[in-house]
Amino acid sequence: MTRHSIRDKVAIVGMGCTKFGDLYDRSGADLLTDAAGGAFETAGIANEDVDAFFFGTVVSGVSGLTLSRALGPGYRPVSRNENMCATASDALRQAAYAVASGACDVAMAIGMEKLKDYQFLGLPNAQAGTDGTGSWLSSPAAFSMLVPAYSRRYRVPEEQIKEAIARIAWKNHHNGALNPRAMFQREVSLESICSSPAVAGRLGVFDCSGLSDGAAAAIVVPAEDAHRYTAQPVFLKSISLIVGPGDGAAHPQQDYSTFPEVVRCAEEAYEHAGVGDPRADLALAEVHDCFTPTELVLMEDLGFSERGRAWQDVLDGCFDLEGELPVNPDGGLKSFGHPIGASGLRMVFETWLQLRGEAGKRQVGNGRTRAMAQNLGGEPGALVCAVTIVGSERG
Amino acid sequence: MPGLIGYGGYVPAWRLARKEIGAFLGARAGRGERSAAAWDEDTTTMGVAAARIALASQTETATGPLFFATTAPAYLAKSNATAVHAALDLDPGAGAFDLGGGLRAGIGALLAAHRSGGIAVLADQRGGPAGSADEALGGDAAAALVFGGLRPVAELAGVGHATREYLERWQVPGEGRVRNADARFVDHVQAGLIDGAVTAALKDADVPATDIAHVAVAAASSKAKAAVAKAVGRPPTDLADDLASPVGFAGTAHWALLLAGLLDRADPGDHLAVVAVGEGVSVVVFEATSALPAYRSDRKAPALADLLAESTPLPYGRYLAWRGTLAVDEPVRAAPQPFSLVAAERNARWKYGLVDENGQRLADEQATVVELAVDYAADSPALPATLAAVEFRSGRRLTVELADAADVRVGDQVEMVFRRIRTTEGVHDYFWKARPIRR
Repeated sequence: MTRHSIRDKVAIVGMGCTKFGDLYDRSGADLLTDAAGGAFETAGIANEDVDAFFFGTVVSGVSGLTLSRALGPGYRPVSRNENMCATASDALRQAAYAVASGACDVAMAIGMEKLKDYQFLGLPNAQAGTDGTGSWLSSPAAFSMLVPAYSRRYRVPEEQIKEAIARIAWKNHHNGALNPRAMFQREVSLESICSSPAVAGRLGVFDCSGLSDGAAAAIVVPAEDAHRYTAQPVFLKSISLIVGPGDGAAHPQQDYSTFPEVVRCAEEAYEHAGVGDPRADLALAEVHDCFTPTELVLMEDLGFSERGRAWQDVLDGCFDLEGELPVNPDGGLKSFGHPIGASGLRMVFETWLQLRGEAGKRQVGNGRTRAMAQNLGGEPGALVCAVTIVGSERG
Repeated sequence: MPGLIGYGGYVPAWRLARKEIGAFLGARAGRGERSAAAWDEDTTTMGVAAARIALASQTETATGPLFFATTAPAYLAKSNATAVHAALDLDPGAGAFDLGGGLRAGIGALLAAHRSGGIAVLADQRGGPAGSADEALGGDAAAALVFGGLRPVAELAGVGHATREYLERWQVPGEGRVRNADARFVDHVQAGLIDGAVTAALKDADVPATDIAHVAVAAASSKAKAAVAKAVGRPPTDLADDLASPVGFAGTAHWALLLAGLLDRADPGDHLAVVAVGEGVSVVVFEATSALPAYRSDRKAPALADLLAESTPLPYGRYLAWRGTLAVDEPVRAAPQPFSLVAAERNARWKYGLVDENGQRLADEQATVVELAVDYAADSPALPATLAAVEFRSGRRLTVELADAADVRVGDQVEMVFRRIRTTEGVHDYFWKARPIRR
């Protein structure tokens, strides 16, 4: 657990986000320049004004040089990090701590992934360097185990869960259709979702998010300086990172209906941010819908739904765009796409737009002033999780 | 001299019906079936399977060296015996040696194991070009014979050989193809060798032919049976079932597979003769002891008949794809990298022996399926792959692939099997999978 909260010590004053998708014509450098440019512009600063960069990517770069080459002019600190799908959130966390420590006045967190340059399906191979005995479970197969586990634990028929997760897919595509940056900008019918070819377990093609290319960036400054850059800064209430022991596959108590790493990460984030009732306090939440049952389980692990009730809340529309607590109003990983090292910052980008009233057709209008971005990486039993809570007001 | 204290025969569950070959190729259909190793099996893994059966029921703990014989080694120029040794978690002080090259290897392994009180593990995988006799009449199988001191279930009563240099079936290193001599020439040579070997074995065992309870013939050619029948003075129909169906001729392991079958039926005092025909002839005569019935009733591993009864039809197209005869399209995936040889050596006892950090050999334990994932996105030649989180009695869990998986449910019992996960850049990745217990 991080000992001290940095609530209201740091503010985001500029953000940029590229379109996500199969961006064959754009290089990693193009994406970095585009995302950083958006952040500089909205913060009203120039590249030279940044004291330190925190660059996250999983497979699309080596060292800080990848960023330095793209943006120039060089001769500044560029830290490169990787933390699976939570990479960009971790980059933001490090930028925030750099500013909160007083060492930097202006820091940039930027995440980028150029997966399509690798030309292959699925995630990069992880067996190199190991003894070859690690599980060869694909990502969809690993998360597909949530469905029967949830079904057995709460005695909910799998058909009912299928209905709920189809609704999640439908919701996220519906939201993505309103988002000019999303990879997929078309509504998808429930029939298409339910009849899509099987990928793993009860999951079909439409239950799985698509890996893609993209980048997103944020400019972070001390909260007391925020007004110098923008009339509408977004204040960081908490940014928590929890890395589990990674032993779930061998653990006798491993329960595939919950993510302990997420529960603990959210607890810490809520405590530091002073969020008592997330469903009532948050204006919106961006969560890591790598697969539809993941989003379902997250509703409970994040405290939005009671245990065993998320499927019902989903079907009741609680998390729809017009619902009580909009979840993934920007379309989520599902329709926005998932450039692994950028997604965490893409989520924060939506909270940024929403809290500043700039979300256009997706604008949430419930008057609440705080929002969450939750990001996880790995597989059930071996996860890293990051939760970022932001707010438009100090206090 | 050491006696036989354990034995086992292993046949993979998959069966290729010979008429399918005929139908597919528009050629004459054969009869019956042949056994086919699964896509994740090879002679090393089948040898391990047979050895585990033999060692599970041995009357005392074998301590001698391991001799591994095959004509279809997983690696050339590298010991496969050491992999078998590691998968059986044998004493590092026990030797492990390979015999290969030709069909004589299995008999060589027997003689070496017998003399030194060790374990002979024989495995073979026979096939050939699509439509060939080698393919239709060959079989994939393994057998193991364990020798030791105190309470043998059978004694090696005598052996006889007829050795001759002639080309029957051969392959030159670096060449993909296996060549065969004219079948009638081979039959002719073998017919000339059989009588001498049989006579020598009977003399060595000091048993007349009429006193042999069961005679079995392991040969690629059906003509050998007639010659053996003549040599032992009984009609060919009196010879034991040669498992031409549902196994086929399983190379250097076949005679030992037949022996396992005979031992499963023999009465104490019975003499059993197995004639191993191929690149020469050897005849082995065993005598069953009074300890054999108890061995069979107490055994903790399946009998050969149980494995022969487990029969899963394998479509011919899939057999061809598994053997690499048919090139199959692959999705564009991240190129798998071989595992780290260094990490594998460091963790060899876990990787090959499935011995965990507490010294517990999970390979010998049954487990329960706790959660399942049927994976169409797996990087596997046999989709969908089925993976499962399985839980052992100790509570420890492992997420593994299910081998030969059919209709599996959460709650089913599984046993661990040693398989070849994949081969990447010429490196075989061996590990354990779980297999539903069907018996």
